[in-house]
Amino acid sequence: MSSVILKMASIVLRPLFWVISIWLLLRGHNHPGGGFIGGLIAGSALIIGPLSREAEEIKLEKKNYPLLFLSGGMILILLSAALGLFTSDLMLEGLWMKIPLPLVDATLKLGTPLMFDVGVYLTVIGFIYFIFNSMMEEWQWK
Amino acid sequence: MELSIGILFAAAVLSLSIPSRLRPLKGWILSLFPLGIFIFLLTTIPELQNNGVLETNRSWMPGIGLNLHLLLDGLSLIFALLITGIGSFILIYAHQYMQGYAHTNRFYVYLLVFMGSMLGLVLSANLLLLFIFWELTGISSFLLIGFKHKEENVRQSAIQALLVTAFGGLMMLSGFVMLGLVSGTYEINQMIGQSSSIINHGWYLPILILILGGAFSKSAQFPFHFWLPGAMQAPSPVSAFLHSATMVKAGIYLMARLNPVLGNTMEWQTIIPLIGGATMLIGAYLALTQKDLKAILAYTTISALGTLMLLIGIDTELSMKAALIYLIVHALYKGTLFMVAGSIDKKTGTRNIDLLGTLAYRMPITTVVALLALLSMAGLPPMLGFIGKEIIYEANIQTPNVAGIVTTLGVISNIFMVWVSIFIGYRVFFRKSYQGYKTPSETSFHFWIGPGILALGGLILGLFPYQLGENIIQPALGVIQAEQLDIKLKLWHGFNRVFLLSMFTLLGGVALFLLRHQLIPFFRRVNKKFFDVRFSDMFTGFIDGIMAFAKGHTKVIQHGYQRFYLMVIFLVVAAMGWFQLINTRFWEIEMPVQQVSVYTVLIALVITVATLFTLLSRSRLTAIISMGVVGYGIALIYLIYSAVDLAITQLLVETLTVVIFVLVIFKLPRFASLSSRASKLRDAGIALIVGGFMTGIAMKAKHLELKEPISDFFVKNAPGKGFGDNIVNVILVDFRALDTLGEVTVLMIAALGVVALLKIDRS
Amino acid sequence: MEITLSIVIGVLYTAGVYLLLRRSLVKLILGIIFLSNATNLLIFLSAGLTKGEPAFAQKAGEETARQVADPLPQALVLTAIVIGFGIVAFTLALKYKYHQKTGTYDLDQVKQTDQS
Repeated sequence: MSSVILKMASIVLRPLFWVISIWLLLRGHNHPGGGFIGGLIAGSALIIGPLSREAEEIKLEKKNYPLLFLSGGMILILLSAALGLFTSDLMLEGLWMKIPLPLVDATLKLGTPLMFDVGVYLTVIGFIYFIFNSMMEEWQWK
Repeated sequence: MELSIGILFAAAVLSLSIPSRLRPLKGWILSLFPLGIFIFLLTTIPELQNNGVLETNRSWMPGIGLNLHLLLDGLSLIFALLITGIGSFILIYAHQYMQGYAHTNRFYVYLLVFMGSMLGLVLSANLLLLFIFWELTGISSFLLIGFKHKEENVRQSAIQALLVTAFGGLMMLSGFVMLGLVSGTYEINQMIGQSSSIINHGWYLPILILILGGAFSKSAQFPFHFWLPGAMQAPSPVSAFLHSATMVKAGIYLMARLNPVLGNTMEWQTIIPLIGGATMLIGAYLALTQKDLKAILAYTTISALGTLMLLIGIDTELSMKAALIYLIVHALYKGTLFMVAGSIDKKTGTRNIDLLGTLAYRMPITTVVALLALLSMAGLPPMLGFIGKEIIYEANIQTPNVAGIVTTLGVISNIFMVWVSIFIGYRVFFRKSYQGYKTPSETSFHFWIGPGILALGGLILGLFPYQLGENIIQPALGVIQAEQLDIKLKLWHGFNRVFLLSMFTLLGGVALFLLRHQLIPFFRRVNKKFFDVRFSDMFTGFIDGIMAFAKGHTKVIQHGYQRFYLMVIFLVVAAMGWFQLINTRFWEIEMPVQQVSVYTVLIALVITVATLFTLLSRSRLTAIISMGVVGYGIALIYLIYSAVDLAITQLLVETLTVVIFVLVIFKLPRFASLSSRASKLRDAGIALIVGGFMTGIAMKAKHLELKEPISDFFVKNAPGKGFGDNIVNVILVDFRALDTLGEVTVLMIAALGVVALLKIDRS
Repeated sequence: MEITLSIVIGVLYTAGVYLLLRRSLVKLILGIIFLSNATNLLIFLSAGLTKGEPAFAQKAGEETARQVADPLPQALVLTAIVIGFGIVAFTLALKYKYHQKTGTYDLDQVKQTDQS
């Protein structure tokens, strides 16, 4: 499927999707959003480009990016799970670190749940990217 | 103490990473681990004499009563010493023996894992923990028996051993669980206190039988004995270690350990001596007619295990003492003999005693070692075996009720043992003809050091038995039997009944040996006629029967038509569901109509129409797009009813689903009308029944009486403990993060599955 | 309000079951999607419906306690939706490969696991 409209749109949409997805990921703990939703949007950003192009135009990627996303996400998740083990003997125990921000009146709260969410985000991206990538490859997407 | 088990498991891992420069010393290096533990155990003896026990206790899964409770007392000490002591020599021996085998790395891992599990078994003070180690020894034994897995009969023997012992293990587990239910604990110490109430409980007999099932199968008692000769397919170090000195004694250990809990009853003193006595006699008798050196040893091992079981079953102080001494005696001489058999196998290329001979002149050191062990096996002075046999006779004579039978059985099997000992000694070492495949020569140092020390141990302990009795047997006996009694081990007891029996035994054995040319053919004929029941064949037949039965009925039930499977599942579920719904009168639930909102009804209508489109459309594209409409409709419903995250996710996923379908759709077959009108109507009927049932369920769902929902906790604590305002997200990444972890794993597996499926042809 | 949604759930289940009982490969996959949608909705409904009060924690300033929507089924359904997508993708790939290998699209031909 070669669509000029989609191709042009994807040029604009791709960075937009990325920004939105990261924004949704980071606010997810307090507002609608989170790893799953962010990951779905970022995954869409990754596949929208290939979807709009001819098969010959898709460059064969040397590195296995989907696998990197997938395994990176899993590693982050397991790491965040394991951190609790060292401090309190409980796997997946949430650990938080509060950093007061100097200029505005707020504190930045970083914790293993955030790390976990980022892991989910990466895994979902890898999942979508992996599936679509291999399907497009299989069917010589045109 | 827990460290010592850990060390062995760690050694198993370490054994893989020994640098290649040190490879020639591998056996020596690895043997340092058990040797170190052996020395550590020796140093605990004074402390044990003062305090009685050494223990550590950590909770592991307190919910089910499983604790990492390890306890070293006199009884454990005997076994632990045997395991680590013999284990170190076995490693040295194996180092030489296993050269030329493939995958020796694995061999050491298995062996060390076994050693660790066996040590864990005898140190466990918690029945569930004991069971875990018990099964671990079974599995490592399976791996070791099947070490030469390229041969068909080796695999078969390994599986047979695994099935028999695992079956017994499961029986034992159910016995343990029942015991746990009766006594309310899995700690053996606490059970001892409740012994009398357990014995009088109605479940006592089932418990005893189930646990005995485990002990009997592990310790190769009749009628489970057949796996042990099969296990001789393992390399000789394994036979020497697992299948004579240690693992097969696990059943004996268990019964000795549980004697204060379950023992001293009619049932105990009937069942165990009966089976033990039968095993003792059958083992000794069958040993006579074997030709394979290792098979002879295997059957004498069975006989010895029977003797031990018998002694435990007699359940007097004297018999326990006899059991403990005989245990050490047997481990020492049988370990030696198996290792000698392995050396002979290596040097001559055969284990057939009809071919062997003259080895006394060619392998003098091995011969001396073997003769010492054989003396012990025959129960002759000055070996420890003599003391062992004397005490056994004494215990037999003093058996309550059935002393006559027990003593007779004991004497007969001992006569056989004497015969077998003389027979092996003569045939293998002194006979003048030799037809082996290789020209034998004396073995290297590695091959005789281990068995040599073990055999010497038998001699030294025989000459100075006092130390053994004072330091080792006495504390152990205190564990099995509450009363302390004074034990004096002596080589010379004076002229009494026991001595006369010993003399008689010796003379009988010699006489039988002299008559061997007449007797062996006779026994073989008798065997053919009466004992031609091959238990292992029966066992294999039984397994085959089960397989055939399973295949037969699978063909009928598993017909292979997916939609009929589904139909059955749907109909059964719907029938049961409807029954319940009608019983509880779901139509009486109040559903106020005035709450109905116009938006929702509109969305519901859109969803219904789109669904109908999907069902009826002949175009694939239409079907998929209307399915997308259904999904968006559901997303709107989520949005209306306060589920923002859900709505977003549903929208995104629905979009991706449509995209992926559009990607694939033209690669997939067109819709075809495969079913007849009648079957369509039938399926529609089934679908309506299921759908109606689900509607009923959905209506009822809100009206269930539940306890305080857990959601309240989440709502309350999300900002305070989870530091987040979006409660759904806090649940996902914090409160129920383990669930999410599982779900993400599913995603990963699905992705890998898709890739694997699509790339299956291109490699 | 529940009555409308209950009927929608019933409709979706009916459609899902009907599609699953077809012999066509593609309809089977559509049936799975319908079933998973219906089940998600059922779980969502079973916790009760709350309008206009998403599951967010109280603001610090707020005095009165609000009755927010039950967050637990939402969390459950959220992951279920994503996993449902994973299953659909996997089934699609599986059925596609099956079709490619055997050339058939009739599920009644799928009777053996072994190649014979």
